[in-house]
Amino acid sequence: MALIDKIVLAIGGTLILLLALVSLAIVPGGVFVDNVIAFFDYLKVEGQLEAAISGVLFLLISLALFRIIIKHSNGAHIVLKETSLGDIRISLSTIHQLTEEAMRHFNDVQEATKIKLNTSPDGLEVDVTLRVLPDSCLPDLCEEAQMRLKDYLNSTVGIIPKRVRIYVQDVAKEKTLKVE
Amino acid sequence: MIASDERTDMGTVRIVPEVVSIIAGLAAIEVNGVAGMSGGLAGGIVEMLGKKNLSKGVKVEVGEKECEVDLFIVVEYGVEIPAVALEIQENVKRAIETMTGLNVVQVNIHVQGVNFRSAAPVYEEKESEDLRIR
Repeated sequence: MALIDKIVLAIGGTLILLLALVSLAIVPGGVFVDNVIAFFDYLKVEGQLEAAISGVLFLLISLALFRIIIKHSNGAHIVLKETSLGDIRISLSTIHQLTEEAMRHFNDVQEATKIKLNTSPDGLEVDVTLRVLPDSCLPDLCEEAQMRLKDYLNSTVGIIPKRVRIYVQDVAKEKTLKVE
Repeated sequence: MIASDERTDMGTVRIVPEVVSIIAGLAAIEVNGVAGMSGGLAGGIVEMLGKKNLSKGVKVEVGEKECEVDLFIVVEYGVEIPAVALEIQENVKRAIETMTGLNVVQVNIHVQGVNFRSAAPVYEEKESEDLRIR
């Protein structure tokens, strides 16, 4: 994420947070009243309910914006190639997207619930946590998932990960049709 | 960023970096496999305000005779990324050198994301074609 984007998001997030606090302050007693019942009684008065709802809404939006800043602040990348014309780099978020997509098209996997990428001088390490479909042979499934991900990243990005770790976190209760 | 100057008998030809950025951006998106440029939030806001941002996702350093370009791109799902990036480098270099006379010393490509949206219907069409053959 570019510096200007971080600044825009930070200003936007701060403004919305301030709006949230102001909106909540309009409500007599705010959200910090000890007596919750009394608080809801206040909300019944005309206009205060709207103020409280908008306050909570602004608060949620500001939290979402700050989450985006934190999530995208790590603009890590990998240099794929150094050509005579310059570098070809790929962001880790792109590799994350591709890994997610590769797992989504894998028949015995319902979804990749968590993907962690680590870069070291030795190469790329990928940790994938999966929710698998029932009736799958887990060792075979994991081995195939490893191979498939390695092949996929090699053919698409030109990187062979140094290590692919597969964690099976959960087995889905029912087989669901996957829309591709 | 500095504007590139070229003195002729008739006067001075000045190429501002914005022009080089637009040339680079247009040359990049015409390569097959490029879904678009990644201009970040600021670029997105500019476009939302109704201004077509042709230099979105392009950073240029322009000297008197040479220039350096950084391109932030989003690729289509299913393409071979290094091959697409190489083609972009060549296309951008060719376009800038032909149009401005500047010597392009570096074209750095930053792949910022993959576009999956346009990929889905392609699969569906392919599948239905296969069914028809059967």
